[in-house]
Amino acid sequence: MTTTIDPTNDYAARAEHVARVHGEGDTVVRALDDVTIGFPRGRFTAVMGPSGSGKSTLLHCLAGLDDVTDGAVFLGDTELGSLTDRQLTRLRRDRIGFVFQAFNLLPTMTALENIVLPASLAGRKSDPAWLDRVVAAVGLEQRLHHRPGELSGGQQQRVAVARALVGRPEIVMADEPTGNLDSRSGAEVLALLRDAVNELGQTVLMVTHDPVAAGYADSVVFLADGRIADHMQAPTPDRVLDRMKAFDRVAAGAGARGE
Amino acid sequence: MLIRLSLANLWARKRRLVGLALAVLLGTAFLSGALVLADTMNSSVGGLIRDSGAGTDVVVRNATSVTDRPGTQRGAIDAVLVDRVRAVPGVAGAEPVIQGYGQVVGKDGKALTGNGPRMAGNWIADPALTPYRLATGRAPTAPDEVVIDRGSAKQGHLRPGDRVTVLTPGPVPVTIVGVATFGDLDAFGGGSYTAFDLDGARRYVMRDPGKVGTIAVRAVSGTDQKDLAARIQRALPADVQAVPGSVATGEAVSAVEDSFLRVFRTFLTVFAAIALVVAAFSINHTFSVVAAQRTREVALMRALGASRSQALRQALIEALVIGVVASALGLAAGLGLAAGLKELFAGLGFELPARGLTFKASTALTVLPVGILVTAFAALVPAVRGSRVAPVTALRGAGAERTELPRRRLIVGLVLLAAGLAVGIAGGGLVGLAIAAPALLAGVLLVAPAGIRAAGGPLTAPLPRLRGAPGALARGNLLRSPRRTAGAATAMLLGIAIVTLFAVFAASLKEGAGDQTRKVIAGQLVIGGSSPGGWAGGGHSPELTRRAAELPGVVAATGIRNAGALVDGHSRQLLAVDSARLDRLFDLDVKKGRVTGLGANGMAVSADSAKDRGWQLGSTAEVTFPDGARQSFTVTGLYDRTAVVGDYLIDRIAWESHADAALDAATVLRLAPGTSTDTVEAAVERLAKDYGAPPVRDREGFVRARAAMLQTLVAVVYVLLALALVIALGGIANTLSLAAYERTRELGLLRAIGAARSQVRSALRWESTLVAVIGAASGLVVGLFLGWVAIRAIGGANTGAALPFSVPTVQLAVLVGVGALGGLAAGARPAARAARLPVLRSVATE
Repeated sequence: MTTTIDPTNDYAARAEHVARVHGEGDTVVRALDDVTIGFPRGRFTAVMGPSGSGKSTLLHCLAGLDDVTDGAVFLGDTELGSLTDRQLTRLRRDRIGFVFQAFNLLPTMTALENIVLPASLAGRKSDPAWLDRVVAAVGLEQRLHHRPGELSGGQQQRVAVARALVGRPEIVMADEPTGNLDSRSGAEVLALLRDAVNELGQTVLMVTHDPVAAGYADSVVFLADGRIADHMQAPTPDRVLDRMKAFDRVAAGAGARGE
Repeated sequence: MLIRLSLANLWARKRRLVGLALAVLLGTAFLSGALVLADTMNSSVGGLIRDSGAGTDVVVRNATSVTDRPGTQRGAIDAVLVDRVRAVPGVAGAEPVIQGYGQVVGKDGKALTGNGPRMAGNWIADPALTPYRLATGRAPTAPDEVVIDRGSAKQGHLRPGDRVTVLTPGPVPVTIVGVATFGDLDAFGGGSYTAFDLDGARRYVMRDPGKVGTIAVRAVSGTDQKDLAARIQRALPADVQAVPGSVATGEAVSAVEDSFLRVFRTFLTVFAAIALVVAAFSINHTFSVVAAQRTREVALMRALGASRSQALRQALIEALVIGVVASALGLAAGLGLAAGLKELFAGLGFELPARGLTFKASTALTVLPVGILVTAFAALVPAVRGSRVAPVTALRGAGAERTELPRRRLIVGLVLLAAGLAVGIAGGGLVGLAIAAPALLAGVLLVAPAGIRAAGGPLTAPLPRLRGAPGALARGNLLRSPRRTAGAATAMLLGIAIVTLFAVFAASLKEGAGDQTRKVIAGQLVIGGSSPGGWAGGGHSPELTRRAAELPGVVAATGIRNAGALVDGHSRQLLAVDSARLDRLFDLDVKKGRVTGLGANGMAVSADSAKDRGWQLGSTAEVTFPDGARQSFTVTGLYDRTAVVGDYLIDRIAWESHADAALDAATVLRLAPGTSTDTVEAAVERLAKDYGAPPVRDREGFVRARAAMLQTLVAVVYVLLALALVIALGGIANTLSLAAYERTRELGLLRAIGAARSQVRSALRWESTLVAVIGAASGLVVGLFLGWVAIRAIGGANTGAALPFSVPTVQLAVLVGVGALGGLAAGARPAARAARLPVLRSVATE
């Protein structure tokens, strides 16, 4: 099942007929298979799916971290496939904010230094008022001069969210941001992302397999076997869980596969 | 099982394997190269001498030997003995051999100098009795015809038919009629050889038609050398001896082996040892880094039930495998290095008489065990530390490296540092140095991590502002594990400390020698006494000295003549001078008695030598001259200043009747008050043109020229030490690339959030440069301090010549600059590789 894109809508990022194939011959794996989808501006979208459904690959392709085998990926109006490595680097630095599952921070830098790192890599100063606002929003005023080793996992992930937000990117991409956190820390991080959308008008794209996390989003896109399987507006954890169980039954029949 | 696991482990981590092996290889290659080069020299020089004497069955020579230094001659013998020897049954041929000083002057009027003795003699037609073979032209048939060696012919662009001057040392105009090779070589080492016909050699080289140097005898085939020598001996007077050719060449070979070659071998071995020590630290650090990286692996194995000793054994087996393989590779690489060093020496003006490369089993038997043991020991500490890892570490997945610094190490380090400083400052001579140096070094190495933590932060604080994000990254990585940073810088520290120590030493010696020379020369002008090639055995004709002394404005003059003789049975270098006005020419800081007017049996002795021999004023010394004559001398004066003049002075009159060495190594002139030095200098230079134009210099010029002669030697030493620095830099590159490998995820994250490749590269390059600078700067400080201690230790023992402490600022600035640039270069490859890492895979790496 593919989704057509509404040309009148304003998308922060979109994929058009994207395919991504790993390996060749007998070992060929179609991680993404003719995926077309758009992520509207100012919305919090979650991408869900079982292991091996291609959700992380989709995120990596949208961020220009991975090449597509077929189709095209756009950030705003920019088609990523035509960009050089240098242009992709600048694009990631200036237009995308990243939050990873783990190992999100550089151990030798303080929290503050980590937050302003993309700006300083670009040789820019962060806007101080905006920086203060972001830091206040993530609640890290007292921990700015600590190193990652001196912060809890939740605090580290909040620093990573702050780093993603402080550059006012067109889109924040989060890859299992709560995967390594306990439920309370996870809830804090998700609330932060929610607030960023509500109060700052940020666009957020989050890959997760946690129905509770997906419940914070405005909409959920389900992936299965590298294809878009379903959409859900205004998700709640219970509804998401039910939908996922349906996938699990299908998957159990098809057999397990690795990611 | 364990061995298979070890091998599998090594293979699985090829990057580490290469890193570890490289560290060992660098160290062993230099040791192997040094040994191969020394063996090559030994066998080549020995071979050359044996070849040159191969056809000579018996040598007839003066029985008196005043020195066993190679290249020096015994006294002459009677020419009539040649016919007497020829008459002995069993003698197929006997040729008189004359050898003496002979310097060819090129077509431009300048002497063809080089790094070896300048010899002249007679052309010997019998090919069995001479190593020289005509390459072009013909043998000399008239006294003014010569054959020259091909080395000199090439150097001076000379051909048969050219007319040149040979200084023997008086100028002799000659025609070149032939060019000869020494065996298949252009010349013997850096030396030169000019062959007259027998008449010419007698007239110009021997200057005594009734004498010859030695007689070379060829036996009738089937005659035993020893028997023939004994038969010939019966025909000779007691002061002349006949020795079998094999004995004579054996003596010559061992003379060279005991002097020059032993010095050369020691010299190379010292540098090999320095390189090995530097390499050992580099190897140790590499193993530490790898051990830290492997903490999780080890912890997992331990969690699965491996015992501590199994973990330890596995690490040691890996180290042994690396030690064996890399040492073998280093052994082989040494061959290439030896060939390279040989070329390098030649490039610096030290032509080594080496043919091919000699690889002896003893080289392998030294290099392999040393390499393997050094590797095993270097790996031991990290392996033991690694085996102590608690199994839970694997489960925690914690950052592998300990970043806290044990207090005990710091305290021990501080105590050692303080002790080293205290002993060094207090002095205490060489014993003090022997205590201070290791204490100080050990202290510095122990304190270094804490020092980097304390001082590294503030010192590198400007970096982020100057270099932006890459600067901040480099700084962070430098400070994240002070122990590792210190470890990486250690090899550099040692290398630079040693180079600095040496540089200070060389500069101080030079300065000290210059000072002493300046003080000892009381005259205003000096002729000769130095050679651009560094060979100090040359000189000029005494005739030049005599004529210079007669110039208007010159009130006193003396030639300085080297006079080797036995003093109370010991081989000593005496100096024969014109002692009538010696006090006007030299300021010897006379302690007792007088040094002027020594006459036929007076001798002036340095106070130090007199003390060693237990002499006082009026003591008697028995001197045996090269011709075998003995004479008693009375000590008439004791002096302190020995620069230029040495320890024993006698008058020319006493020397000339016993030895023919009509060669003034230098001439010192004293001018009348009010005379213009420049005017006299110009006049002397005009005179000198007839004598091969030896340089004429004022006192300062002479001091500078003497210092310049040390320059080549100093250059060679610098080059050898530079190799130790290459090892240190190789270590930095190695550990940096290991670190980059370890930080793959970090680098991937950086690239993911927008760091350009150039920024990643720049960060790593800065890191490596900073490590090199830290090592270089601290090495500089340590080296300067130890140099200061060493200079005082040596100066203190020698009453007459306390050395000034001289710091060669320019060289040291260059050194540190080169160290920093080397660090930059060392970081280039790992940085480039890190920048090429694919972003996604790096982030995903577990």
